[in-house]
Amino acid sequence: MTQTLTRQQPAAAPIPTARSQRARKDPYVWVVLGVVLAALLVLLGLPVAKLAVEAFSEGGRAAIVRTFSADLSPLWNTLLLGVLVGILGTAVGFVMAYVQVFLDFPGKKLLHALTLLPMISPPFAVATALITMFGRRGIISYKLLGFEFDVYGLQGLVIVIAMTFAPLAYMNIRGMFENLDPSLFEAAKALGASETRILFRVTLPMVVPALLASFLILFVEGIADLANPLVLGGNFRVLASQIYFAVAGQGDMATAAGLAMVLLIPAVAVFSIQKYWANRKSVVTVTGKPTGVRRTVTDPWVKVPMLTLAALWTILILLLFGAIVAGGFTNILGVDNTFSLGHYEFVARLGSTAIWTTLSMTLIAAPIAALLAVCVGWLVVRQFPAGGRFLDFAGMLGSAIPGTVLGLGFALAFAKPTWFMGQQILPALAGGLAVGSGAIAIILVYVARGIPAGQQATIAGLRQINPQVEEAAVSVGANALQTLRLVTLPLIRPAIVTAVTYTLTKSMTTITAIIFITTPQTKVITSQILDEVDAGRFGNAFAYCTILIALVLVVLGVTTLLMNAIGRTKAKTS
Amino acid sequence: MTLDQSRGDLGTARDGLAGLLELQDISKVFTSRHDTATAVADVTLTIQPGQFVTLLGPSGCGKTTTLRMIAGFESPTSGDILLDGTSIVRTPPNKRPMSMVFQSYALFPHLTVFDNIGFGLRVQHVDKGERDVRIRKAMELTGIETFGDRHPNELSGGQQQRVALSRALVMEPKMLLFDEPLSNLDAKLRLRMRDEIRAIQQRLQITSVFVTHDQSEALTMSDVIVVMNKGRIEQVGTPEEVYRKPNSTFVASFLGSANFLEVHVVAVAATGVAEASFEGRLLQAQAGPQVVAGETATLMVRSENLRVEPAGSSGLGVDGKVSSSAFDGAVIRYAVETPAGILSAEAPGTDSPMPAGTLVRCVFRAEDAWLIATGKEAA
Repeated sequence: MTQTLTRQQPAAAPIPTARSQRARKDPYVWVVLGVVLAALLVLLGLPVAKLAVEAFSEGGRAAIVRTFSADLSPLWNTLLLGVLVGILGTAVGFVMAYVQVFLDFPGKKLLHALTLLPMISPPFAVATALITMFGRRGIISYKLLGFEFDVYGLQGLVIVIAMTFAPLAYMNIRGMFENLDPSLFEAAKALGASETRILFRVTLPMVVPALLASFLILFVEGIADLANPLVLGGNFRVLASQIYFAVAGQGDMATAAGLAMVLLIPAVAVFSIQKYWANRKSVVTVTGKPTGVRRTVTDPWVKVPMLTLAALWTILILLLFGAIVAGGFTNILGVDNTFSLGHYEFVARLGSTAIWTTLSMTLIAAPIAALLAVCVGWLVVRQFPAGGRFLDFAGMLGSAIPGTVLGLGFALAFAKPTWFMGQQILPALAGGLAVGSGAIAIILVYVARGIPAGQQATIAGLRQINPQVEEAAVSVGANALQTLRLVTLPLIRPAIVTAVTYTLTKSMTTITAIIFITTPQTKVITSQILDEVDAGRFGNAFAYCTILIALVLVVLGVTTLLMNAIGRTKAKTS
Repeated sequence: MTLDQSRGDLGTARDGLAGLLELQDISKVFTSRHDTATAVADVTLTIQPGQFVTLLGPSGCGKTTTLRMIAGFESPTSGDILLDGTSIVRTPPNKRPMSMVFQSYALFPHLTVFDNIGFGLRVQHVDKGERDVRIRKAMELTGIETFGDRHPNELSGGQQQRVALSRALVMEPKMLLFDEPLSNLDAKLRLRMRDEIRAIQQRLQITSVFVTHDQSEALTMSDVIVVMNKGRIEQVGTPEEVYRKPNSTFVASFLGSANFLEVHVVAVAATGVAEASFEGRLLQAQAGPQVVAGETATLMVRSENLRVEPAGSSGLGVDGKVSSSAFDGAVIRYAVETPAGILSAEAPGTDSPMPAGTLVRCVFRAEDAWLIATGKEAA
């Protein structure tokens, strides 16, 4: 009846539209959105745009055509490597996470630390150690077991890259396991399901989104990795190394950009497919009320195989990292095993600047990345549930875009000042002649690469929090920022710790994304290591690696302590 | 601001004008890419200061959406919401002088009970001395004085809900909003919390809107019940009104247990008593609105008012045959097969139960029967 009346009224009383009626969004929300969008434009938009322009120049187009016709093998090799790394790394991550969450055994914490260890080591460390231990003249393969194993090529690359990035899968899946409602398992058990049945019918299906997300991350890491193919690739050519040779060997930016575009397509495509698929199938466990306590699985049919697999993987990790540490303190590990401090003297003499520079740039980048990551996650989940998808996608591009590609984009975009409508808005940021001798571009890359992990953790964390908890804060008068600071952030502290620590470790140990923008004036540890490996001075490289691992550990320890301390004081003040 | 100047004495009745809420023709349409769904349609309602109003209805009837629009967590697609004469439809939720109590309690798990309750005062920069006093008062009011240092996960469901209530009360809001706050509690505790919430509300005279799908909660707690169905208001009235004089069969069957007879209205007297024929027999009932002589109507009798008597009884009623009976202590419940279908009726528990197949007459008093005009049945 009301509708009829309204229709009969003249236009003088217009029906209010949804927009005009909407309660105004907190102004802080718009400020945060503006900052985030500007940051993403500089970090990802400009580099990708510049890369695309270069890739579709004449030389770039020729390179693209060649990749799909005359010279198919780099593309094929790249995809194969990505898939194998994804499968192996995710499988390892699943086993290690299952063991950690559902089984009870002595040394659990130690196993956790060992599982994460590869993440905080520079990629060459594992590759070089693998050559030393399992190569043609490897300590274990040749000297102990007496056969010649060819570690160069696909097989070696899969193991090394999967090992380096399996910790990401492990953390992802473990997080999902821990968020599963324990009553789910109690229900399955009560209905008479055996532990093996529960594993395959309940546990595994529930973490499918995490498995897929892990596969994605590992696939992209696998196809993007540059450092390992350089060290361990042998005749196995992949796109990333071809890009490197185009730039380093011939200075041919157009060809490099063309190849980079080819690498970018599968990376972003896989990423998008996964995003769409995982979004539809995601299993959300809403924790509105405190639930029961998780039981440990004791069935030997589950426990024994899982622990055995975990133990084998751990032994491999121990062997390789043992070799790294030992290699730094011996003349030539496996050839001349006399104790020596020579490698460390070398590092002290020539590497201290690099260590200091790396550390400073990382410490600047990590909090920026964490802040942006949390803001993106918060905007996506809480403020713009509809349009947030785009923002989520944009933020995730930092990891979906292969490091080599992003690095090349940065080199192309920021080697010269940035102009907009006749105004110079940014000075040159990359290269030896830029402001800060190229350090700013490197920091920006660190930030871009650090955002996705924190953003994912934030989104996952926020989705676990019943929105009513935040509404309750608003209901008693808190504005958006107060709610974020006093309620949301404390509740997603694990996500923030993830964001900070991930950026720290990723930045300190990355080479792929910055190889094109390192400058002689801004020395980075990882590029120093590459120089040593290139020159065959493995001992020096091992010394660098050991120092870098120790450095990462110290930084991580301090960060964790600091974050916990902040958490405690925050909880106390009121 | 000193203590005395603050509005803050939780123990006193408040200014009679504060907390007048008017919903003017509000609608809420949710639009997704594929379709649109009207959650609330043209709801108009005035809530007087100090009233305890319940929004009652089945799930999906729009009651929670209405509450969330009042709170500001959703914006109406059209229509206006006025608090004490001023439109608040564009006021963000944190600026509305209302506090909400949630179904899930929604306590801050990282804060103690004391800090949970004090949260709102803290973000509004109320100074510590006053804050502490007000927190303690709010805790006393709900009887959780001794739990200040605990964390929410160390409390039982009932205690958690008391914390949530204190957290809302401490703000001294003009309105309290309750979103099915008792549905996560066990039956016994639910009954007790009903009384406590009502007692506190009566004492503080805070205008309250309470959403529930539990009819007995609505009947026992409210000054006014708003029955909603499919996004629209079916009826607004006191608990007695909506129970005894439902204006639709939906309301009649949603609250309590009702029997319906399709009757032909013969005459409506000025006193409101009407005569209606059913199966050629004349019955008497109260006429509801729009009941007109010469038209059909639905006659509603509550089960507890439909008495089973032996066949041939002289009372006005409907003849039938017992199809089943159940002894329930104080009463015996009968299902009686009649020309109007199965009716549910009762007899005192002291009678001896009649076996199935017994011919009976279901009788009722004219003042217990209510005529609903045809066309007002459940949509």
